[in-house]
Amino acid sequence: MKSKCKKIITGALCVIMVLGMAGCGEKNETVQNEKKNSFTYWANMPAGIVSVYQSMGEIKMYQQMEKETGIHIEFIHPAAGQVSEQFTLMMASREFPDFIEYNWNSYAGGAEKALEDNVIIKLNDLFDSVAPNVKKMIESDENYEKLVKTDSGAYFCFPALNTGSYRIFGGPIIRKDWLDELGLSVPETIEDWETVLRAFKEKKGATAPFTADASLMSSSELTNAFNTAFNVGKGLYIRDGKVVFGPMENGYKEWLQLMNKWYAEGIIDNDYNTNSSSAIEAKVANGYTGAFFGYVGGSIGKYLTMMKQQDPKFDLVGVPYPVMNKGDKVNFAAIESDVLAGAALSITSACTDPETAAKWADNWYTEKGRMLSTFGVEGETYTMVDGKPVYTDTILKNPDGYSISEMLQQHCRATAASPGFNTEDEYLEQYYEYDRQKEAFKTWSGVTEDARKHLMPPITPTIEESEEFAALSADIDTYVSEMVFKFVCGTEPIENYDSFVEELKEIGIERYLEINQNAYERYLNR
Amino acid sequence: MFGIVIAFKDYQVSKGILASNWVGFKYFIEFFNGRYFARTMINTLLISFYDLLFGFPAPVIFALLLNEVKNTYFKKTIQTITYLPHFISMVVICGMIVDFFSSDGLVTKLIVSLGGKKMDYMGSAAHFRPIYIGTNIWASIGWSSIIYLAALSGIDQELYEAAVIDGAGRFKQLWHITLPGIAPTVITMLILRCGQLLSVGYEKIILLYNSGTYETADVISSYVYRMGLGSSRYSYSSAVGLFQSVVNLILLFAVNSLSKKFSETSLF
Repeated sequence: MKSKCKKIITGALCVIMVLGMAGCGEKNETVQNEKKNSFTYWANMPAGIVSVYQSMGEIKMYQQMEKETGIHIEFIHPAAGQVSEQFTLMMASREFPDFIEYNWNSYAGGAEKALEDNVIIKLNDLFDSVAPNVKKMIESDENYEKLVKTDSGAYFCFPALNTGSYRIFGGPIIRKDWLDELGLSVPETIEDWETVLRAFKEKKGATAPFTADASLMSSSELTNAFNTAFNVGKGLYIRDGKVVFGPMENGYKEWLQLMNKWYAEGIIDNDYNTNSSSAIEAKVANGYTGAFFGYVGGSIGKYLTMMKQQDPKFDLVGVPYPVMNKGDKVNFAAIESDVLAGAALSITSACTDPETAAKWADNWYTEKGRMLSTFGVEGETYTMVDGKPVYTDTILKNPDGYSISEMLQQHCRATAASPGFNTEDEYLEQYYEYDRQKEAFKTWSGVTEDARKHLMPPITPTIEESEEFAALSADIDTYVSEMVFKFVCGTEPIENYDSFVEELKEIGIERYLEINQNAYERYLNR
Repeated sequence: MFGIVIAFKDYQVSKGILASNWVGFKYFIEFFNGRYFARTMINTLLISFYDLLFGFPAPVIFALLLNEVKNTYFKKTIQTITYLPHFISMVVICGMIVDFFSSDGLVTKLIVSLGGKKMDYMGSAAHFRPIYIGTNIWASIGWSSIIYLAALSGIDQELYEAAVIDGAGRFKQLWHITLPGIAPTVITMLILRCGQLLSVGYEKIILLYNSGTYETADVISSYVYRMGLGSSRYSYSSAVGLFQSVVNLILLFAVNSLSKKFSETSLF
């Protein structure tokens, strides 16, 4: 009896509340449809500010933008390391914020499917009516346009454009002080590399002369280390207008053979498949390794700073991608696309005022937006010297001991992909403090044109094909990553390479390539 | 629970659960015919079986041993130390395991000094299961033994006194009093454990496996995780997950009725 009473009271209270809220809603709605000045924004938080800030809203450039536009952005962040899982859950629950910044290529079925699923909205009309700057930027380059549109010609995001002139930020890196001590020159060919790595092992006591993580052999990563010498890519790439799959191409078997030989000899790290980035860092710091694949900022800059106190002689140099014979062409590299797909900002179907939202996002494509997101606030983080922006000492020589990268991340989003302008030359030239970093850039950039020709652009299968595509790519990825490791560590003899290829055909590699080829052709016709 | 229907539907996010098309057993058939069905199935069963075989008796034996210790201070210290891993997050535990078994790791160094081979044990398919089971025992032995210790303290002390008067030694006491005393608890735990035979938790697996160990490590739940959250194949992974639950349910009933028949202890 008592509980029945309670139920009735609870029910009545609920009804009253809902009625009350409905009343409020009606009043507000007319206001909301006209103008909204606060938006929710879902994005992965940059790793560098996690320890300093609670949310991206504390980054100075967003606060400055709020001052100028009067629009407040409420950031929502997924837990670190669970970005794709939480994104998938958000999609399944269909509770969207106003903005989502994400890599829409990893949405099952691609951006086209996200539009069809009514997750995000088509932006073509908004670009024409209220966002002229982003449209102008996209149309300024044919590559931008292809990469930003879907196959059916829809714009779906405010893209992160690579506007600087550099595209290659990673490559092989080697201990220069060891080379000098042993009287060796910078290795170019596979033969040179073998000599150098053996010398590191025998004379410097390196237990893992060349170290790497699982990305070294992975078919889905751009870590191109020694495969360049065999003129074969690791995964999907373009050769003469056709999409091909590296593991089935000429040269791949020979590359595997070499890796197997080096693995057995112990001159490439026998732990490579389980190495974490901290394990690699420890190996570099302790002198267990003398060469690895790395990046200008994340490796050369970081390690040089780290080792300055510990070992003053410690020196790293970026070396050219390996070739078989001197003067050979290098066709593969860790090359970035003209549009950084990871930070595509889209407006969702839940946004009640897409027009104001688009206007706000368009600000990042103006000259003002470029300066704000790359250099921060004038007078605080940079000053104009001879018409060029120069970072102040707050950034470059922070009194509290923060590194340049950490300080930049607190003020703007120059160091990682963000909607708008990215990797501006004026920023890079100041960001890289060591000459070794600038040299590495030049060393690797030489192969940009050839590598770009072979780079597989992000493509989307048609909606009918997307389920089949997902199933095939999951099976193929698992199988290849498993078998390649077995070939390298020798549990599967290299003679079985042919049956490996046969098995790939069995799984449906031909159909997989066909879907990719068709999608690639649609991409070219965008 | 209602969400289960998507296992029988071609679930489209845009259409929602109700409006998506029915496809019947399509995804179940795809899983049974898929190239990874046999492997994930065998791995799940083997890992579960070994875990049951070695992991289940371990805390029982441990509790019996502790029970024989008369020095309270020593006993309490041992208990505290063995409980510790239970309070560490799985992610940290797995990080430690990967570190210890890498080719320069603590455990590897120990193995080498005992004449073993220096290698990256986490990358070796042959060593995955022993490492998985062994570290499971290490992490859970203290905590799981609590329930048996409780059962042990519930045994009537007069029985032991009577046995001593009758001239029973330590092993006779153990065999005729202690073991029958805790048998109902052990059997109940065993039945519950059997109900989970097919559900090896994915957390520890995905934190420990890599392409070198898929062969022996990839279980149904880690496969469901990869398909569902990795490739967004909601319907397919629901179907696989449902299959796993159904088999678990059948096993639970089977073991329960067997136990009812032979030992008169059962859950329901």
